[in-house]
Amino acid sequence: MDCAEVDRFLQVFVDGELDEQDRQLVEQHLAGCQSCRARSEYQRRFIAAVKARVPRHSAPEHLREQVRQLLVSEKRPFLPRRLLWGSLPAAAALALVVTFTWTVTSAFSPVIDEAVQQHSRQPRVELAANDPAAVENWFRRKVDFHVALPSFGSGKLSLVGARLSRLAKRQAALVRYASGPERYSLFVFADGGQQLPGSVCQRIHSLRVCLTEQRGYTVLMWRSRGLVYSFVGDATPGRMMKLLASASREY
Amino acid sequence: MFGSGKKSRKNKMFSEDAAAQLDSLYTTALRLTGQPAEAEDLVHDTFVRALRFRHRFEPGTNLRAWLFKMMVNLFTNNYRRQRRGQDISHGAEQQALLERNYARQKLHASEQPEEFFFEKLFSQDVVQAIEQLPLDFRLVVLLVDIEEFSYAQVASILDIPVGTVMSRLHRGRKLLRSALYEFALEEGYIKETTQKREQDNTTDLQAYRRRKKSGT
Repeated sequence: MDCAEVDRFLQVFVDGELDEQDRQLVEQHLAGCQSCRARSEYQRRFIAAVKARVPRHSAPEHLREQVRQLLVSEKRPFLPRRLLWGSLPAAAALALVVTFTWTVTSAFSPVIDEAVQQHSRQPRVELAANDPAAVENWFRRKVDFHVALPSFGSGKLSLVGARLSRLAKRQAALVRYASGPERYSLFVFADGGQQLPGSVCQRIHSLRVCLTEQRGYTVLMWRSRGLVYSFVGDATPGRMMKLLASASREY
Repeated sequence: MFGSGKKSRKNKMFSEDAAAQLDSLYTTALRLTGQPAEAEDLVHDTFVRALRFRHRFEPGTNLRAWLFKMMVNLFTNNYRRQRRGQDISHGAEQQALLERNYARQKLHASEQPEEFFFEKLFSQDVVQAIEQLPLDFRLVVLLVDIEEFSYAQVASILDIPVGTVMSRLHRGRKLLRSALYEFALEEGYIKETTQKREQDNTTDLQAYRRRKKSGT
């Protein structure tokens, strides 16, 4: 090997990643070449100096404890940490009572699957409207349940429109929302008493809201006054919980 | 509690081995996020995810690499989004600027290695320089030089070919050395004895640094 070749292999050699044959060839060259030896030594010292100056940190005690609890717990939490540690805004002002129920349920649920599928296809609305009352009215003779919509504060989520839909063979109302580039779909259908799918549930206002994530989408589900709601979006669980929390209680 | 038997022993081993990686993961998380609070969130989320996908881990394979892979993915998918403003400046532009400067100055440190300037540096200087490396380079330097993963392991963690690992490592180290050299000069740790510098280059890099410091 000549100097040019050694130079090409130098980094790999210093990192100990050369195969045995090439390594020996480089070593042989270095034994007889002062300048290559100096370069090799320089590389080595540089990497060692950097490593020595990057401190090893110990994880803080509270993090260590949290991780320990995660690992010993039989039931597994699915919520990201931010949501667990009170990322909901004005939680105190709303006097939110947050209770966590760990439920291990089967991930497969036709309602979730179909809701996510429809949301991802973004079907055209049959009624374009930005007023919840107009939408509720429109559904009056189209479905055999009364569609009651949460009113998300103006400036948070704009109503885009609505259309008829079906979820797991049931009639459903599909209402679409947007916030900038974000898209949301709210499905409403009659409550048949089924268990809500969702791996983690949390209380928001007087509602018990259950969370699932599927194919990268977040799905929140809850029941209220004879109806079941399925709220699908691209956003994080934390953001969607916040949106829901900020919606009016009057529905 | 846990039932007896092979499955629960496996679970226990997984938990113990995973827990042993906590400090390592946290240190890297700090270098990636630059902030303790975010680093804690990242590590916690990593463990949550690791437990959720525990069944996908093949026992006998490298758990450490598996956990790091999970953390890096989480970081690039979720945490990066929130730092979008910062990342644009850490992108191709900065890379090109720094590499152009490096090329013009013909960094002589490698040709005249009498000055082991980097041994005069303090921890915080090096940490800061690493945290300012563009993300692609930073990741490889952290994983190889600090966490001592092999090229093959890094290729698997970052889901890139080994050749790309090698080239990013090479360029990343050069950028790091160049940045540290500039810094050492500015701070007076060393004096410029060899190549005369073009005025422009110094101004470029200093001005760039100043712009970065003021957050523009």
